[in-house]
Amino acid sequence: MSCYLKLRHFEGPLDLLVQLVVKAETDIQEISLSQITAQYLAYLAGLPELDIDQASEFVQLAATLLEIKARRVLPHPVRLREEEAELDLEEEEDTSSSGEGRVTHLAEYRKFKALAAVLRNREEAWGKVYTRPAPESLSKGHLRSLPSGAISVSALVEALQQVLLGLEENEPVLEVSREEITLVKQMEHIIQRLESDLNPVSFEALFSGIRTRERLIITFLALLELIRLQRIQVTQQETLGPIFIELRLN
Amino acid sequence: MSVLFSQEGRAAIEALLFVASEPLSIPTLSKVTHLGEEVVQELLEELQVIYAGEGRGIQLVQVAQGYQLCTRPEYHIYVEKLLQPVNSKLSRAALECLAIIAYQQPITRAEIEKIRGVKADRVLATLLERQLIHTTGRKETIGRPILYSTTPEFLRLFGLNSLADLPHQTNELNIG
Repeated sequence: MSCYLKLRHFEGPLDLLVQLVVKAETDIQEISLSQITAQYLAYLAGLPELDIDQASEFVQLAATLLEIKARRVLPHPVRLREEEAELDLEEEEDTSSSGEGRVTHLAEYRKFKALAAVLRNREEAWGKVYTRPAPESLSKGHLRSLPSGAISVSALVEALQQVLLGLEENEPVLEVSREEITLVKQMEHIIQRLESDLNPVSFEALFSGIRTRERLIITFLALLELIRLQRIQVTQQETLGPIFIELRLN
Repeated sequence: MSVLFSQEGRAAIEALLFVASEPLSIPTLSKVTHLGEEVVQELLEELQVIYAGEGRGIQLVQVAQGYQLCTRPEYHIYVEKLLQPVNSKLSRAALECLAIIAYQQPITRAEIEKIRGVKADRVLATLLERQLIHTTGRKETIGRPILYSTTPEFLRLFGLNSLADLPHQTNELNIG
């Protein structure tokens, strides 16, 4: 992922170079920063999209190299030290004199980077281990009772009165009574109808005026029951013709 | 009310571990069961042996200064299939910042930024929000900056019992 450099005295990734410079294994004087920058820009141009993380990492590494180099080149680092002391108000110990301060920072950062990787491994391994979520019913304070005396009896009575008052204000409830039909009643009804009519009653006439499905079914069942009991007689003169019902005369 | 028999005590501890959603410390278990801390420790170890036996899907682990029942990593696919947890891994920046805090706590924002070389505001906000770090006072220096430390939640996330269990800081770590 890192940019691969090809310089006169060094060939490899940038962070390795910084590492070597920090450890003073490579002489910064022999490294051309402009070459590094040129190669890095070429590398960035070759990437499908700009990775801010990587770009900023480069800026940081390059700045570090530049700083180390500048300190190496300058004959009197005393002025720099003073400036830095002014900038770093929070720095308690004066350890950041010359390039060493930056060098230790970088070394420290590399160390934490490595530790972060170790933590990442742990995070991944431990991510496969699950624990029980807190059961809601058992969480603290879930069923905590009110402190005694928080509610007076009179307040309770008042609350009840409010409820009762609200009830009275409500519109009167209208009751819709359910039509009560029984098989026996309907059988009697059919018999009465047949008795009042001297002529046989047609099937259609018997069912006309029935509005509910329930009554329709009960009437039909009553009809079947009367046939079974041989109380009525059903006749049909022709196929698909009208059906007539009359009392059976015994 | 005290639990007299060790088997009963062990069962009681198991029950407590089952209902608890966070690690239970030995002092807590001791307080609830009225058993001595040494006894609790022994019973916990017995339970660990039981759960370490073959054919178990759960284990009793020592984490964040306590004990907690949790699933075995071998069966994570099944757990994930059932519950479909949302995976929210920490970003690289957040992890680096967390590593610095973990090893250097308590630490100020400026000190973190000095090591990382970039601003840490957003990363710190994320870590605070996830309750992996918390503020633990102020440094007695110019400006009295806020100090940050890791939380027990941090230990839980990484399955650590205490900060002493953090991987050692060595320079031999493979840097690349």
